[in-house]
Amino acid sequence: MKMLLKKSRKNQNYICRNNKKSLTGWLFILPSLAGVSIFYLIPFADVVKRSVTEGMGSEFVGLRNYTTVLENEAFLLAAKNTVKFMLICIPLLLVFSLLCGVMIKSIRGRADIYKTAFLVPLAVPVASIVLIWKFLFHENGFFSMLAVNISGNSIDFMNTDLAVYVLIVSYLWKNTGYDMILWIAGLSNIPAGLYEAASIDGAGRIKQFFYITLPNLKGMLFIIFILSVINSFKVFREAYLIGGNYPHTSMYMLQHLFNNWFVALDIEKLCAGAVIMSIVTSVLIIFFKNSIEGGR
Amino acid sequence: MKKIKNMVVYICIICLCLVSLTACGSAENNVTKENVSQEAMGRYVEKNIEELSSEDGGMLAYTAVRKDGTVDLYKYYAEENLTRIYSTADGNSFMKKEVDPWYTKITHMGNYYITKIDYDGEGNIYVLIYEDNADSGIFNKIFKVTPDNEIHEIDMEWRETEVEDLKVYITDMTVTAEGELMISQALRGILHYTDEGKYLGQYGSSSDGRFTVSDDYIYNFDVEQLKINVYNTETHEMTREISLEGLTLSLMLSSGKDGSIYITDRSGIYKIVKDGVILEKIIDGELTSLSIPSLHFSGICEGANGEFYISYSDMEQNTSVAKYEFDENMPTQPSMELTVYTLEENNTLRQTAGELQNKNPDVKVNIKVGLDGDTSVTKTDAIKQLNGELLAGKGPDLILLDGLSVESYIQKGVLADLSDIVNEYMKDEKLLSAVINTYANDGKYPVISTKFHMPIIWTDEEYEDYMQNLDTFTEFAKEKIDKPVFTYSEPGDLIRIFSYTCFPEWINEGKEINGQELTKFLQDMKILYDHRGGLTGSDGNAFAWAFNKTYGCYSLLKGYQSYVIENLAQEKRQGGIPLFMPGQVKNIFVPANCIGINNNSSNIDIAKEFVSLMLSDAVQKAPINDGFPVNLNALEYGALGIGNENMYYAIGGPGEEFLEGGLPSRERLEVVKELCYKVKNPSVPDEVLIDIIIENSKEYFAGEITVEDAIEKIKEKSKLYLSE
Repeated sequence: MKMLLKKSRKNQNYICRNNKKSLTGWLFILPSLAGVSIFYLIPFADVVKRSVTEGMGSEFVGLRNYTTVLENEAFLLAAKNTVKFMLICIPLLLVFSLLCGVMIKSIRGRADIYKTAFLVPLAVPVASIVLIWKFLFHENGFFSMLAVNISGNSIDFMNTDLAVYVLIVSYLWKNTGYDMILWIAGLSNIPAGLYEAASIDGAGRIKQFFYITLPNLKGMLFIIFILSVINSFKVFREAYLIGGNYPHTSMYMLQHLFNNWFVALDIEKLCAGAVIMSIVTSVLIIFFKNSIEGGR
Repeated sequence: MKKIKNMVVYICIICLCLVSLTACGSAENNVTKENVSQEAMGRYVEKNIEELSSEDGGMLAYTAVRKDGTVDLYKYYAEENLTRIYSTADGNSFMKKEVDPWYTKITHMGNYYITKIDYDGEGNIYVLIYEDNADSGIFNKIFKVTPDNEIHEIDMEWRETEVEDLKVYITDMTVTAEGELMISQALRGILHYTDEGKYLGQYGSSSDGRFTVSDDYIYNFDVEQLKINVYNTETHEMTREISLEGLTLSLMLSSGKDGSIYITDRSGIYKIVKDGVILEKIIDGELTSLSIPSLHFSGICEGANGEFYISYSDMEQNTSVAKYEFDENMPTQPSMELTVYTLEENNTLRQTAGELQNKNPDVKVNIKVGLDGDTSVTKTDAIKQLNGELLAGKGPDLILLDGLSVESYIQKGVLADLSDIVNEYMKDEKLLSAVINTYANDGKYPVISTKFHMPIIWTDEEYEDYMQNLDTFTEFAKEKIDKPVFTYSEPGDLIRIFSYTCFPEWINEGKEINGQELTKFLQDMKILYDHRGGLTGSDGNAFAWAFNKTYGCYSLLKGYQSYVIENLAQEKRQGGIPLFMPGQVKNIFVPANCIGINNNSSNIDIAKEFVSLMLSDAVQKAPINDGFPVNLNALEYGALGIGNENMYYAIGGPGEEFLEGGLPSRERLEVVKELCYKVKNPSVPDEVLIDIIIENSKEYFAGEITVEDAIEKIKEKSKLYLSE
């Protein structure tokens, strides 16, 4: 009986200590949680509320705003363009930055110079990038003049279907360095012993890459994927500065639409669109996370 | 002990979080009874002096302050051809008397007009006169009147300019207590003379004009660098500079007591103490008539008891004098603030704000201008900021919707119904119903258009039949190929000009482009473009017509006061009439100064009073040149052209061309007024769509694609915008 009591007290102490630790943890994250709640969670709750109410009022309209948005041609085009952009850009960025990371990791000496070179685009202000774009891709710009010399016809890149590819190139150019650094961090965490053991077993570089490097980078892949998705939304700045509120249709993104809806005070449509976008993005992230974890 | 330590840490963290969160609260919550009782008190209150208004037929001519502080206000009565002096020593009572005999004597000595009167410390009066038609090129004389009424002409050592016709032209004169003269001479600058006319020196450059003298210093306003240069009148050396950053060029300088000076502009009256460089705002212009755009201020002076007098005049030559007296029982800031939002600066809002504040001294009207010109904020940024405030429930009380998406604000229920205001006016049919009903729906008026513009073409009467619609107009252009109908050089110019009278036809109910009407429009524009002749936009629309280079001229007429250059062209041609601009829709007007009240406003009553004032005779009659009035009394009044006879314009055009003359006669204004009564259809061309049409029809105008292809391109490009 005494033993039992002792054990039970021990358990109680353990629970108490755990509760205390848990409370301390909560208190430490409280300021951050308060900030996130005030600046993100509560406003998002308001967005969800407005997505089921009418205009600036508070009359409940059910899913009417969602139906309106899903029937809206501009929304469908913007969503299609955004998804297309992400489907092309993100895999390309992940692969390209990984290859760059692997190559730079394998370079002995002077690797820092290459790292810096890849990171330079991040430091270039958006306004300067837009100027470079205009110099290169304007109807009277460098590439158009090149096309005139070759084929005799000028190309107005920004007012044709090619506009989106200019945007893609810009995104890759700007984000490769950042993702590459993340990949290098992931590569550095892979124990060198694994490669050594594999090479004793006769595995070549390609086999080492597929059977050691890639499986060990899965954790990092998820983080880089999330960051790449977030950065893909930021490409709107370049598109907006060069094409204004109504760029060529191939460059017309969800952010253009949301921006225009806000200016026109179409808040209910804006909120419904934002909720749909959040759901799709969340589903995408969860799906990706599950795929990676399933693969493990 | 450890437990206690942990407890203290937890409590500290909780307190820190609570303090952080409460700091985010609105400052308004901190207002307590104690705070209220500590409200800053005292401010200058404006009061109009009835004796000095123009209602008795008199007009304020000069203001002068005697060295004992007595203020003399000279008022001229044109009908009786006499001048009276209103003097006040205490600021409360005004003593009226006829002018002394010296005044009449001087005016009868020649073809003289008195332009300035000032006093020295010994009771001498100095009179600056302007001599009409002075052949010598010396236009001024200065007389000294001694206390025993003896008149002497001062033998001035004039510093003549090199311009033969303008050797001496004095714009201002100030007399020091010792009797020394400071004069502002055109093309010369500020000059210093003794009381016997001996030249002592010059201050500043030849471009300086506005100045004041206080103690031993002269303060020159440097217009180019927006600063005051201060000179010592004994040494003639510059002693310091005072920056006037933030003030406008229309400021005035006046002397104060104890060596101080006052600077007055639309934003208020500022004081600079002796030897100081800091501007202290003592009267907030926004709370006074200084901010009313239709009033021009002059003659600022300080009375014996620290009160101020400012004389005002309007375009119709009416004058008034306002006294500003410190009232220690008035709160420094009015207790109520009414916020009015406008995308761009607007005269009607300023005029109404001034009128409202005169009626309600306890209300401050805060006019927030989205695009104030000093920042790099874009129109989209400004609208987003406004929308953000509206969403947060903190928007302005009133919104001027010019340049904003009016329909959107109405649909979203942002705006309150103003039908009670309209119905009150419409009881006596005081408003132009076609304009007032622009945004009316089911008897509700969420937005009221308080002014309007009209697209007008001036041409000879014989061509009136051609100006019926776009078809007849195009026929006219095809028939009269010797010169263009009016000046335009680019397809974009043409599309913009005709967009006012055609735009309503281009968009179907379902927010789709009406291909048939737009095709017709573009085809007509192509015909006009092909018959454009060799003129360019720089040839001047009205000038080209005046000098017979075109068959007419075009303008978006923004009120009676805008009708200037076209009138001069009519004068030159000795003919011509204004007609509605032909287009696909007839009798078009462009609603302007569209005002709405925020549904969430906590000052709905006073906001409604503001809107009501915008429609009132007082505001609508004010000659502020931002639209035709919707108030019928004001519309009739404006057509009388009161004060027009006093104005004379001389405008240089391209090359050697020159137009001169007065403002429109009553007969000409009547014709425009009749057009105002005929307006029927509102038109507010959508800037985004117009840009799309211009951009995508360029190749059609260049002959590279067919009109059908251009329409397809426009439809494709605009589909996105319209479907949003």
